[in-house]
Amino acid sequence: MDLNFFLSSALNGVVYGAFLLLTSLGLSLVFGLGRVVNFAHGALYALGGYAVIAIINQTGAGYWTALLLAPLAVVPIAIAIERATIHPIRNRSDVYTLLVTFGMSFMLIGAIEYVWGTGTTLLKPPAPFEGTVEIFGNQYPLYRLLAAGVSLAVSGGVFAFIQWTPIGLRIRAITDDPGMAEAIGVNTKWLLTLVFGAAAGLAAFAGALGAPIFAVHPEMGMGILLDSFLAVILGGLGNLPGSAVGAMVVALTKSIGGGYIADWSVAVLFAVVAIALIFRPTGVFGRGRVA
Amino acid sequence: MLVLDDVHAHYGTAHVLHGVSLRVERGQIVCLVGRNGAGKSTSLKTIIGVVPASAGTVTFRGNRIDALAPHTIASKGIAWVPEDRRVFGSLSVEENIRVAAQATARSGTHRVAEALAFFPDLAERAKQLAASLSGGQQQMLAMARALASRPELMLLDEPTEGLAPSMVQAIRTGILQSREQGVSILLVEQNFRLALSVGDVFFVISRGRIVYRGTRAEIVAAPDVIRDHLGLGQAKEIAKWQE
Repeated sequence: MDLNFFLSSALNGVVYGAFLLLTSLGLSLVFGLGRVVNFAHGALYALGGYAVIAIINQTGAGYWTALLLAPLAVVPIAIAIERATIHPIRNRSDVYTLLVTFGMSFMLIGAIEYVWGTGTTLLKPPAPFEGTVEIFGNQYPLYRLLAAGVSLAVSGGVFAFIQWTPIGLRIRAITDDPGMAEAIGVNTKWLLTLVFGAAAGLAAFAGALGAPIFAVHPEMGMGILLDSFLAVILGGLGNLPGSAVGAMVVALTKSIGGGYIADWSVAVLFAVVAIALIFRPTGVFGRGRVA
Repeated sequence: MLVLDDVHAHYGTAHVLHGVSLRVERGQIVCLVGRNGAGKSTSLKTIIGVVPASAGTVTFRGNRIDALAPHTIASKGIAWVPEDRRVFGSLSVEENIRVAAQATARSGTHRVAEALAFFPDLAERAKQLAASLSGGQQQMLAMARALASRPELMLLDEPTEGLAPSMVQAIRTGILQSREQGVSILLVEQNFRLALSVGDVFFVISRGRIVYRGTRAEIVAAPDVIRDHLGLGQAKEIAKWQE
């Protein structure tokens, strides 16, 4: 076995895992707070990719400025979606919100295709990160390492926010028991709206950050949405630390497995998740909801 | 302070409360007693807004609250301690209390220490996860969490159910201390002897209707009411209590 090949595959997995972490955290937060399975999350990720390109092209802004503005452009859209479609049916069965977000996903993808077309765009990495560095005997794109570092840092910031701020404490209380949190005075509906917006912002940030790595196209969010769901189900729905570990397990399984057994790695991944759920239906790391 | 006037409530198509009317005056401990399924817990849930009133009015300090969301009702000074405690298991003891203290604009973080002071057992376990506490400790935590919001009225639902005698005493002490600090209490309690030892006014509920109202002295002197609506066991409890 070529050790360098293995380590390079693992590094690719960590980089993808860092992106998956951002999208999984958002999914897990929204589910934890409102038991909302947000199928539109992938489309919001794609919207971030398109937003960063649009901001650069329309305003002439640099990549880093556009990277910060792209999520800010997507958050209001997500908040409007939540208030218009999810908020009015909050008291109904979870199936209703699932169907609404499923439909919203196709509407957003349709809107992207209408505005930007169905083609694929690849953004160049910003200077001075266009080059490569030698790692494990291979030339590795410098921007990928930087983007992974940024993703991990932002995810760490999200964890710190949830753990150490008053709003984070309320979010954890709602995740534990939304009805009781409401009864002690927490405005759970408004907090869900804000967290839905923030989760969309994280997804859009991931999409914008990944634009120079992954091809930008209308359905770019579908793959990462599926992987994010696998990560949060594996980690325990609503369990943030579990989702983080789940993201890395999914990314490494796909990346390392893909290097050796190609498409069979996806089958292996689903088998891992299925076996995990048979023995731990609330997620490997517990405290989640039954998937 | 709190007035329920002809309140009706439903669970789906099941009509549970059939015109409940009761009052809690400032500084009182009012006990709502009745058999299982009589509508005691539903009455408390209707006051806090978890179960909507389908007819009638709930008034708190002169203002209608029956159409408000639970978090708004909590912010007006009503705290609810549910029957099954419902502490936030993944939060520490201190976080359980702090989130309640911060959730309403009525109190500050200093209330965490004050709320813990009601139950010294809890203060020693401030950093412990709530899920790891015993049933009695969780009950204390549920009460401390309620007190952290500086409520004017506390709704207590079966606070001593399933607890060891030493824990029952700690809860009783907590109830009396809360009243001393100006908190009015509406208490639902199956332990009729405990209710008699703390209650000022008693309402008996049967099949979703209030069928009796009396002071402690009055209900003790009405064994037929107890026997008819609470059962023979409770009538015997009263007899023992009188001895």
